[in-house]
Amino acid sequence: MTDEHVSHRPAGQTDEYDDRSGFAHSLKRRLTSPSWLARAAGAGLSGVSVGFVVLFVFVLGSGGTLTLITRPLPMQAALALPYLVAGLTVGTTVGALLAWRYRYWSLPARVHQTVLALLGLAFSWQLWTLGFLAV
Amino acid sequence: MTRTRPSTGNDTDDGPTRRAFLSGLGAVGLAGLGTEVGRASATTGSRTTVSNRSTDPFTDPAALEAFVDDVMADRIGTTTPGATVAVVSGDTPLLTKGYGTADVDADEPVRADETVFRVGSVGKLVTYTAVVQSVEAGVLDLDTDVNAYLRDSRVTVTDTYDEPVTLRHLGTHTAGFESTLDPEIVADPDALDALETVLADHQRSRVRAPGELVGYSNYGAALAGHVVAEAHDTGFEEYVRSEIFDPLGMTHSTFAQPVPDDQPGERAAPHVRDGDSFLAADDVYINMRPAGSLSATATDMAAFMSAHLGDGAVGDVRILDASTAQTMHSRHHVRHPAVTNWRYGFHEYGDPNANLIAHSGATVNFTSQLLLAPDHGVGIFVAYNSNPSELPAAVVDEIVAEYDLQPAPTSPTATARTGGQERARTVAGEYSLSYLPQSGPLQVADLLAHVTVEPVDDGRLQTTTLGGDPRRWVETEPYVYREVGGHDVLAFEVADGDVDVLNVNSEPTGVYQPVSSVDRQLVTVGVVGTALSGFGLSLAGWGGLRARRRWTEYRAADEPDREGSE
Repeated sequence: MTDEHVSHRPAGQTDEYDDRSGFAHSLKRRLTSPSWLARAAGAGLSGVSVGFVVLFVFVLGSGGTLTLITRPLPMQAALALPYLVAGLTVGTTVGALLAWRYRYWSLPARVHQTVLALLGLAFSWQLWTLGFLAV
Repeated sequence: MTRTRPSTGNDTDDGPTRRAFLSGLGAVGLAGLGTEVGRASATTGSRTTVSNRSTDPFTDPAALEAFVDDVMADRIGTTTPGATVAVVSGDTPLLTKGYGTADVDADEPVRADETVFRVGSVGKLVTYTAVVQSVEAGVLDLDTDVNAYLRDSRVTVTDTYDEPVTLRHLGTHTAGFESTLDPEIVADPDALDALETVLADHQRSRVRAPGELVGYSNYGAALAGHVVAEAHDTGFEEYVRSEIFDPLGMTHSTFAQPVPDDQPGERAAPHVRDGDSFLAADDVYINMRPAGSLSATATDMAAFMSAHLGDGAVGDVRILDASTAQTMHSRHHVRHPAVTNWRYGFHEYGDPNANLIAHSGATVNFTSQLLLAPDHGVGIFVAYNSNPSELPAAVVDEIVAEYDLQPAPTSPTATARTGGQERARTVAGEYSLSYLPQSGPLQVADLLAHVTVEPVDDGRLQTTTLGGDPRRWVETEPYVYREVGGHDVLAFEVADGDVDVLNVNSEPTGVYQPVSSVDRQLVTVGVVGTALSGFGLSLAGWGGLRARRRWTEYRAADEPDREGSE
């Protein structure tokens, strides 16, 4: 009796449910995929690093150098980002190693990931040298 | 009266960004900055610098006023919204005058005897005057371990080094405390703590043996004030009021924050630049009060300067014995004989042979400069209610030049000693300042303050700073170089073929030390620039790729429809 299997939900609701289910499944699949996480770490590293410099310079420019001492919320937010950069550098570097080990992606994509990891390590070294990463 | 913009050797010709950044940080408690072939051992015994009182340069007070009016007219409304000026000759205030507006919102004019300015680190001179008063009274000694005076206090100086920290070290910024630049500034007056609490809770690490090198320290100045208070079993503010302000009639002066409502006078507002105009800003509060919380009028500062010029007395009022005042005005630390050195609380200023002593100050959006020319019996004080890139010292410099309070710069004569080119190669390199933070994000200030020394022709040197104009130097004696067209001097201390220290005449608040290859500006700029370029290109590449895919998908989805419609 096929009729018994017919859903009584409106058609639109079915699509929405399927979309949500599909999104959750897709997200779960991505979050458990080392290759996707490696790429995400590289993209995050790029975005957060550029974002840190832009935000830091903006807060310094608009609030003056005193903001480095009084640390208003925007400066606190900016000064928290170097730690995220350091974390994402670790993620990107591990991702690059896995990419070579398990042959993720094409060769240019692997080289790109490796370059990002090296840039992240160099940038994090400078953040540490300049005192943005206190141990 | 004609006027030129003189160079005193204290101009640094910095680019606006670096200058603004560093002056902004300098604004949190200092202003000045610093050579010897064989540096006299750090702390010397008190060496009397004899004041050779010459004739009064101000024969015509009306001409002085006209000159200062002219100097200030160039600056009011452009450099600063308001300023207050005092010029004294001995115990006679020749000129005390306000310029511009005290508060742009209230449109109140600055009045020299009524408008109170935050004078920042110039207030340290009051603190160190209180120290020598206490030495004169027999309750303190300049060479005793300060811990001996802190037995009833939570504050103590750690025993990191065998040599104890003494009041002589604190008065010459040679205690060796790590600098954070920050005298614990707070935006909310409710966040102000007791001085003892601030010093105990914000203890600074000892990073150098005392007496070794100059490294400007707000903590050290605040500690000196606390020692005075402990020795007299009173509060620091109460002590200076009863022993310095009241006797000198400095009725508008106080270290209290905020300035009490019943304090005489009107307070100038701090200002920030807003395009071509100025906006009144919120004031800030200095937790390490003896290091920079003084508020005063120009008239009050005139009395303070007269007391120092009068060897401790103004008229019948004496705050220091003549011998005590002379001791305070004598050298207590020699960085190098060829450059500006440290008296007690005062540093030498301008031409190293001019016997000018000074201190600058700032509290974020106020700036000030005090200078004494003991040989001429002259004192000059200038304060702004803003923190422009050109500081009040520029006004002082113009007065100094106009009235010949120091010799005009001469063309330096090159040393006859051979080997100049080799010595120039030895000193070439990049240097950083000793008083800038070596930890935390404020290390950016250290990076920006680097100075690069390069050999040029005939054993001459060229120095450059980030965004600054190059400066040329001629070697006048081995490892001592005089600026071409200025009073500034570089003096290198070289041991075993390597530079230990570079002393810069115009930077008395610290010394420069060589930086390692990896700490050079070029390395930082290169690495950060490359990294950011790479990240930026990656983001742009991903963005482009994503857009291309979307476009391809769109075209693919669009194609059947089009076919269908056809």
